[in-house]
Amino acid sequence: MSSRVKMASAIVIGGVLAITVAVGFAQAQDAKNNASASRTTTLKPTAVSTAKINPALLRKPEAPARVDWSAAVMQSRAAPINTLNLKAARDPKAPTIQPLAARLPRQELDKTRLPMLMPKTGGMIKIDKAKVVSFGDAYSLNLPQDKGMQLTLMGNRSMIKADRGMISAKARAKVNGVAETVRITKLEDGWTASFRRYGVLYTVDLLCEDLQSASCATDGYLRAAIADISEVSLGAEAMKEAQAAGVK
Amino acid sequence: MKRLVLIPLLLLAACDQTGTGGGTSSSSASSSSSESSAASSSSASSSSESSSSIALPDFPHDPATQLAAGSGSGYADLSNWAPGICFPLADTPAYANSQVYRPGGSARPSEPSQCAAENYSYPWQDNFCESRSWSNPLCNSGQGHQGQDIRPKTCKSNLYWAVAPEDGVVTQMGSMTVAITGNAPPHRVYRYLHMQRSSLRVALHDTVVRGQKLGLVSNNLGVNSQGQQQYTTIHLHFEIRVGQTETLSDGTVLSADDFVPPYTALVDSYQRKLAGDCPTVE
Ligand SMILES: [Zn+2]
Repeated sequence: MSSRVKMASAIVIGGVLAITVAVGFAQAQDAKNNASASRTTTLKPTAVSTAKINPALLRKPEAPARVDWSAAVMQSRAAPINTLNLKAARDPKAPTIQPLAARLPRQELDKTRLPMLMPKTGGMIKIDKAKVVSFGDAYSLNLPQDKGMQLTLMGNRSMIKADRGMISAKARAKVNGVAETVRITKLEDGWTASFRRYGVLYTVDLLCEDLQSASCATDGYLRAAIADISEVSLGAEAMKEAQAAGVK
Repeated sequence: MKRLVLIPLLLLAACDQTGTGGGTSSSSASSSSSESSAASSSSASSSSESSSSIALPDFPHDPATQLAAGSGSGYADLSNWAPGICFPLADTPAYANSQVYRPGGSARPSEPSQCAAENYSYPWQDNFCESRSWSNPLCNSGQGHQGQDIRPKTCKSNLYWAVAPEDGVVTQMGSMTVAITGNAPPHRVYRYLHMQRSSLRVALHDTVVRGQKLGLVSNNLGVNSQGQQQYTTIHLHFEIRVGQTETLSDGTVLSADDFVPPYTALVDSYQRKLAGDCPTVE
């Protein structure tokens, strides 16, 4: 869109907004009047307006996290058990695609600029209905399991700086078979866990239809699942970045 | 007495991307409209040619972090963790408040009707970190409610649409849950709970644009072990989760994906909604 068209659009929309401001204001006023008429609901004075918020409180993402490509590439080559990885063993520039990843759309893998952590082959996690979507510097893998459960695994290089102590001073768990400490939290509809590996944030959600079921009543199933999520695949963009970082 | 709040509103987001279906960043939360008056003067590069000061309607709302009396020790963070998002309901008014410490909630057993006028009235009230057994690192007590509860316009289930907060992708579909992951960094995850399953207009990994209808707000609380439907009050439970990082003095970097308080972002989004931002996309 040209800047002139943008300006024109801005002016038109500005006018529309000016009108809708009045409408919205009236709507809010009506609701307020209804509320006042209904019962002793206290209409306290409006206190904090977002206009007064310190810009420092507008949380903005940091630059994409630096990936430990060396460790990621090493792990991605740990199990060269399919033809794509055999090729990778001969050609260091070739993407390393593990068996689960090989079933997923190659386009999504290749545009993902981070190590794609996935369930290990033959482990406890069912992978037959796996679906992946890539955001470039993040991806989300959906893994339907038995009995209405589903796992969602997200890898993300884009994070916001936390206040001091918000991670270090809060509870993190040790999980058998997992090197990193893990944040584990019960959800209203399941469990979630997150940890940092290769410089990337990984999150595993377990959604449960029946929260009282054996797999959802405690975090035991989720912990076992995290330990099973150990394969790494690197698509074309990730491998390109690893090469640029000097990884052989 | 009502006040008008003057906030420069960046308009490019609305004219360039909304409704295109393929927009990836400029209309999404991290870069779009109303990142506060202060932010627009310095950080928003397009503001010089596209911003315009308009009056946004204020509305009665208690301040962020001020929870219902006796409902917990709350939290301290006033940040807007999702600047520029669309208010997650298509219709106004809507009422952010507690489902427990209000009529129809377990803390008010003598007032059993969730449809009491008190529940469908301003002012809004924050209920992030309200007393719950779930862990939540941002709460002063280390545990508490992980989102903000919002009642729709009237006390009717399966009538009011929940809409997408920013351009993104549907990354979770549970029995009562829809999650949207934002296209733009930091790829916030917005989770909508208590949706009517049969009304959902989106499927897993569908792309959505800000303001797009997702499904109807209901009282769905999933099913129990016997397959029986469970119910809560009629409301949207709205969560925002953001990846965060902390560098320790020895250089160690830690990361976690934590719930953040939605209230400040919701107040801002609601003011813009009342001013016409985020038209509903079918
Ligand atoms: Zn809730």
